[in-house]
Amino acid sequence: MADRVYDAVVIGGGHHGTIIAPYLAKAGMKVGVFERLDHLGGGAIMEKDRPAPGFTGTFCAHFTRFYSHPAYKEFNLRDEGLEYVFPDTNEAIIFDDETSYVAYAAFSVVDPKTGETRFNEENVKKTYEQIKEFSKVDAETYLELTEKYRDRWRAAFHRHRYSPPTPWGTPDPLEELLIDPKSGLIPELQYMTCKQVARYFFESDELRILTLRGFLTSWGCFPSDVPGIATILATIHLTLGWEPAAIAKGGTQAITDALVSAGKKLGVEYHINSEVTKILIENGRAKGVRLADGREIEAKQLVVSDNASPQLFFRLVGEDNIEQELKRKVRTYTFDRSGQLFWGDVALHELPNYKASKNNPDVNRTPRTYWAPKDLAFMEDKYLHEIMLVGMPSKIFCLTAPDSIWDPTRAPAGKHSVLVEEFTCPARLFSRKEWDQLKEQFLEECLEQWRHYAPNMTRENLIAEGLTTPADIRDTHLDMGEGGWCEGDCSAVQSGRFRGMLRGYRTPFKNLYICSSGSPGGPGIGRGSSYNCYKTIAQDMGLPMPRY
Amino acid sequence: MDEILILAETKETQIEKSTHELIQAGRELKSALGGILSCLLLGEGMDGAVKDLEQYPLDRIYLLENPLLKDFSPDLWVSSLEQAVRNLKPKVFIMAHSPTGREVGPRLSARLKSTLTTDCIGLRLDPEDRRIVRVKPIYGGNAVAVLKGKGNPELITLRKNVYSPAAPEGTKTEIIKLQLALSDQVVKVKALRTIFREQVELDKAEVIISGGRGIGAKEDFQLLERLAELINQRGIKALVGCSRPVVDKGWLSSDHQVGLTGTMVAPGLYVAVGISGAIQHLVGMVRSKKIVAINTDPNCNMFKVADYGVIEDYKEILHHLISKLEGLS
Amino acid sequence: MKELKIIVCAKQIPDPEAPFSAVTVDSKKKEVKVDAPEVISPYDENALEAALRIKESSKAFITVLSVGSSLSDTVLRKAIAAGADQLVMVEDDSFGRLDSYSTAYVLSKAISMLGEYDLILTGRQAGDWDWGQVGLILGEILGLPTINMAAGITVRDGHVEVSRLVPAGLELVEAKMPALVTVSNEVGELRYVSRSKILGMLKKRIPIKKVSKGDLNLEPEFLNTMELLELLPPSDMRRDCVIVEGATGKEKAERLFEIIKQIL
Repeated sequence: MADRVYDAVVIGGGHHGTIIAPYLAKAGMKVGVFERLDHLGGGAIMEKDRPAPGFTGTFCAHFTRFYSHPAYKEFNLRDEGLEYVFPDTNEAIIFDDETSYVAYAAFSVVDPKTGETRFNEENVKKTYEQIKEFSKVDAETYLELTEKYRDRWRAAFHRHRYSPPTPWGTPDPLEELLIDPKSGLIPELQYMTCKQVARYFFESDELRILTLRGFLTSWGCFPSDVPGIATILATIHLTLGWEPAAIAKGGTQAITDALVSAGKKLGVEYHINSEVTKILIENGRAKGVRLADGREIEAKQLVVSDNASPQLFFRLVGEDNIEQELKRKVRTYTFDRSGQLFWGDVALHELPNYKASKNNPDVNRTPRTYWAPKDLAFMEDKYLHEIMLVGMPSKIFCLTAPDSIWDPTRAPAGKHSVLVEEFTCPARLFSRKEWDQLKEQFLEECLEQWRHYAPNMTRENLIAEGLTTPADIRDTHLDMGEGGWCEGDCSAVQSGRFRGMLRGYRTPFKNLYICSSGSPGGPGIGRGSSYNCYKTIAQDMGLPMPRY
Repeated sequence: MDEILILAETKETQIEKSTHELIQAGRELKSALGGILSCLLLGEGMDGAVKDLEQYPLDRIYLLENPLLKDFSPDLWVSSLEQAVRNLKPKVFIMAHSPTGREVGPRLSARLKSTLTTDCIGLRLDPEDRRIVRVKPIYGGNAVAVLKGKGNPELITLRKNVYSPAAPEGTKTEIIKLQLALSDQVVKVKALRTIFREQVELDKAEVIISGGRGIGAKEDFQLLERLAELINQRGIKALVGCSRPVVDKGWLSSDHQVGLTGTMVAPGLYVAVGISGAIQHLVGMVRSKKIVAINTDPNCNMFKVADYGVIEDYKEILHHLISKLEGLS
Repeated sequence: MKELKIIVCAKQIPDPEAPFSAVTVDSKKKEVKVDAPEVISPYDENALEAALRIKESSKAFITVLSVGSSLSDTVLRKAIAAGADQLVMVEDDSFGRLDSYSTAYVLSKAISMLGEYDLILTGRQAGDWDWGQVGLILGEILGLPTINMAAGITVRDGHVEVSRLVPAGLELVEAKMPALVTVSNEVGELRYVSRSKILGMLKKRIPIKKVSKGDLNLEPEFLNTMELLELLPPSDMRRDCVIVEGATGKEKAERLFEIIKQIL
């Protein structure tokens, strides 16, 4: 006799668990979400009083365009308290010779309520002028690609993100672009390394460096990795800054809070500190789950797992219950390039004041500001190797995000917090003690190199740091294998339709589904895995399709 | 006849609690094995200690009194124990996993060519081959190994605070004085002097306020000290403990360290402040009756073994607790 | 002054600070699997640090000696990066689960092969099996003055002076070298080796001497593996933790105060 009965049991209250729960509830199901940790949202949370009292620290994702996720409209998340700010500047990179490049959003938000955008000729002109400073050819490329994006790629990209993968053999929206000779995208792109892609599109060191760093941001693909078409488009999009920057007031916690609030109104029951240890399988069906404390929860209709496939199949279902073919697929699912970072906020007395701001004051106020040496050869050939050998590169290619400029909830009045991100290696390569030492050294070198770009980044300007290493993440988040944020590599073979499972969101068990970042859609709260998973479920069970 | 021999330890000629635990372990083994249970006592001026031991269910007490054995000199002790054990030929020789046992045990094992299992938490007899099965935690407590050893006698050191001390009970105990040839010729390591440090006897505390890496600085242990002091003023013995990183950083001396290589404790109340809970620490305190954890990281291991958890900056909590207690007095 | 020859015995083990979730006990295979990187056992790192401190004040040549199965020079070369002069790896598949005496025996044979020495340092115990025996047994086999649980070591005029941990505090002892000392964590953490130094080392040839079982003329009767009957997961330590709630720190502290009052 089960201790509790639901129509749908969601394993894991990470961000995809919190997205799919209200969809299932809206379809009339009684939904229970079971989370191992003491909070919902997975990485989409903020930490109070981190790195110092009065500050609010970003635990994981920071740059989220959740206003364009269908759930934003479906559940009126703005009314649930999720409010975005849209700075006009977007991405910037500052080089060690005091030159810089700022991308201005080609699409601007005209209605912050719905996130509706319009093509912004003026910003396109500004970005064009920025690129022309260092490369006339790349400036023309920018115009050409921006036009392609506006007319063809953008819609395909959106459709790809928010629909389940087509059956193998039927091209998905992005594969259609590769087939279409007029799209400007060639099939070979599917097999190029990041280094080749950067060379294919751009001529200047500046844009190649930003593109290579962009492949790392959000995707964790190093220059020698093969990213695949979905990741390529997302990265070029970053390099050229097409969509507007968006900062959630209150950080990613606001997204989780809004989703949970919407879920509660629809009757979803959330259980924190409730670790699921086993999925109960009977006659090829998931009957429910067992919790760590021994309680059994019955799932009358279905079980949805917000876990990566290795944990789902090897730990929760059990290796003995799955076929060899699936086992092969699951055991090749790796976590080595899944966004292992030195990551966290630094609390500051004053914002970094970049030397490059004398040429363009906007570099001091850009939501995503990279600073990096203008050393393409190092990035192409040595960066990865140094990281894998000793844990950090001698030349830092740093991403910073001065969120407190736009969101005053992040820091006490007059103070600031800036997010810092640089890539590192899988957690297993170093011991706990070595990671603690590495973090100290990274902070020291990061500040030293940062001062080269912004002389006021002294120790005295630093109030506190809240950096984490992959060892910290691995210890608490079982699905963030090797301490990477992406829940698995995002290179081509684990990207798009190939991510995670053999059949999209369906598993070999009739009513067991996977909705996590480890399924097609990939990591990032705005991406579509849970939404698409719901669509698949709706199709299988005859439930209503989402309104948006 | 099989003999189970235990090594008694004294502190200023008083029998240690760990010896009473060994008697209990020996007694349990004897009920399976049969034979006799004996105790070996080394030192000088041991009349009081013998009187104490006589109250316990021991068949024999072997007494080796010699001025050379007054203080613990490892070289002399190992030499004496080697001779004693070679003469007495016990089946089993059990020592406490104390500084003494940890030091003489392995050396004795080398000389007698007999396997020693250190830090055991359980012993039992395999009735088939009548050898001793030894249970020992490994990987800091993440696993438990069940082993047997080769050679005679079977050598074991037993973790403290695992067996409850034997109850005194009047049995007839025979006292046998051992005569051994002892010479300070065996001493290769010369003791120059002892630097006495007041030692914190954590295992005698009723309340332990323990700090970890999360305390942040040496000076901040004053808050923990103050809290302990205020509890002491109310007649409850409270002491400050810590986890290993605190000792490594030099914030507190090693006698404050709780855990596998520190002191194993089981007080009425254990307050873990800023301790994330490495397993090596947890095994040392998890038998406390009540555990309170104060930490800013809600996911840390310590909350998994605690009865009560406070997710907050420890300074704020301790300040309030201190002023509350100060207000009471 | 004559150059001191110091041998530091170092064991390679899985990171003992790995989280619970990284450790699985395979009772069938009688194995503990730790999904964490291999490291030099922490107390052996302390022993190396003690040797490096001696080298700071006297001329010394430090050999790091390791015995085991599947040793990795990438793990052990950290010792060279920290300042050791030579690495000797004695490796054989059969050395995986030697008992303490046998491990000490193999070490003693390797040490004899290395020639003259003044001081042997070992950690007080390994961070995986926590036997705490190999150093002391090695002292017995080699017939050396043996000092346990060092908190500080100095060397002068052919003597080693050690302050060692005893229940009453610290005991200052002295022995004529050659001698063996086991080291506790009080001597201090192994110095941090900077990333740039490690990078620089990658270009250098590392003096690594590999010794195989055959080189040592080992007598089979002294090579015994431990007799492991069972390997079990630990008993569950978990309790149901009640989180003390409150809007402010003060409120939480007040509730905690009441709870503590009840307990006492």
